[in-house]
Amino acid sequence: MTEPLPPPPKDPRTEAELRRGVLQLVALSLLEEPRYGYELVRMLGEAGFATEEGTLYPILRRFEEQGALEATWDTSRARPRKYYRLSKDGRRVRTELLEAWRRVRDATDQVVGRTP
Amino acid sequence: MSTAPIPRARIAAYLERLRDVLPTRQAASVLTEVSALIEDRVELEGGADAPGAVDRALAALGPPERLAAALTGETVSGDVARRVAFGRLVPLVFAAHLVLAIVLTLAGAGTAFVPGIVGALPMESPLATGFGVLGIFFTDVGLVAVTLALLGRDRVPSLLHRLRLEMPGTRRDAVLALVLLGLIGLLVNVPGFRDALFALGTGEQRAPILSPEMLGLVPVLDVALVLFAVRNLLLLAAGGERIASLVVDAAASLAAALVAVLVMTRAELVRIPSGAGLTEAQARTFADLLLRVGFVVCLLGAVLLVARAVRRLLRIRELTAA
Repeated sequence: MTEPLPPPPKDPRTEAELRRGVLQLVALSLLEEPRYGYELVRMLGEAGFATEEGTLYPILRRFEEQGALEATWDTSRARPRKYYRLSKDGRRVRTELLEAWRRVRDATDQVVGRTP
Repeated sequence: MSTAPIPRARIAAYLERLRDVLPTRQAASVLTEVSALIEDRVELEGGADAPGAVDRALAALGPPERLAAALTGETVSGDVARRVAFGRLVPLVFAAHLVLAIVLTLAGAGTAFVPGIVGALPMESPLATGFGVLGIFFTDVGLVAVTLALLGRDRVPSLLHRLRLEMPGTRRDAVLALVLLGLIGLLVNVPGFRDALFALGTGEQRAPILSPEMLGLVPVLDVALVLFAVRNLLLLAAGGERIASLVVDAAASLAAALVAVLVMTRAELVRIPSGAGLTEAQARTFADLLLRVGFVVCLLGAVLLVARAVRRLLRIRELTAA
């Protein structure tokens, strides 16, 4: 009789790949209040979605171009800082992303549930 | 001794590289935003002088090429590299090609040097000339595309990066440039200085050699010098490059390129007087040599000046887009 296979080693990249898929949804959900780029990076990290500026910034910029985010510059500080906030269109985008996420999750549950 | 650049210089180099690989319309706004991101991160890491703070801030953004690719939806190795190569090569090749065509036209060259590629512009009508220029542009776009396909699009941009024309814009540069322009102005316009510098022979036999044709170009050169001086005065007043100084700089560069083209089309640069201590054959050889050297130097100068003007115009577009 053969020995059972050992469990696969935990690869942090696998989890990171899965989280990246929902990063847009999570980032939009954190932008009900105005937040600046690095603040958002920190909040995502604390919420278990560790990401870096090089990944997040293009997402924010794309959402801003699409009108999902409103951006304002705070020039009252010594260094200007750009704040992002969810727009009306952004709430609709977030809802669509959330629905898409639920469909994926349900489909995954169904398949995984049938797996022995 | 360490040769590693200081942290601020590394940030500036990162932003400069990012600007090079971004489409012009996006560059200004992205640079402002990325700069703010870097500063936030550096501040929270303990400031630019904290060990490794700048490195971590830049590493969090990833290489400029990858960030640009993420912002434009392009792939790093393909689209960005190809666009950068096109953006840099086409203006340079087009500028060189156009200057050569203008020189051949002014020199009255009847036949094409390289049939279908290098030759005089058609001068039958303004429309024909316009189509001639357009033909040169499309030829160059095709040549660049073929070159990139043959050489590999990834290697070419890194080579071109070293060819970047710097745009120094500090007050110190402006003061130095003004001093230099003043000296050139004196040498060119004051007959005493000019004849002392451009002369052959010794003692009483020393005689000025610049040809009347060359002396006739002095007013055009003066226009270029004045424009460069105005650019530097504007830079000095504002403390850095602004749209006005960039506009004047582009005009000055084009005026100087025109001077170079006019020099290239002169039949003689110098006229050796009989009392200068040279035989007639020596004088002819010397004049001929100067004519050839002058042609090459002015051709290179004209290409660089047109490229400089193009770069200023692109920068103006960036600033106005921002």
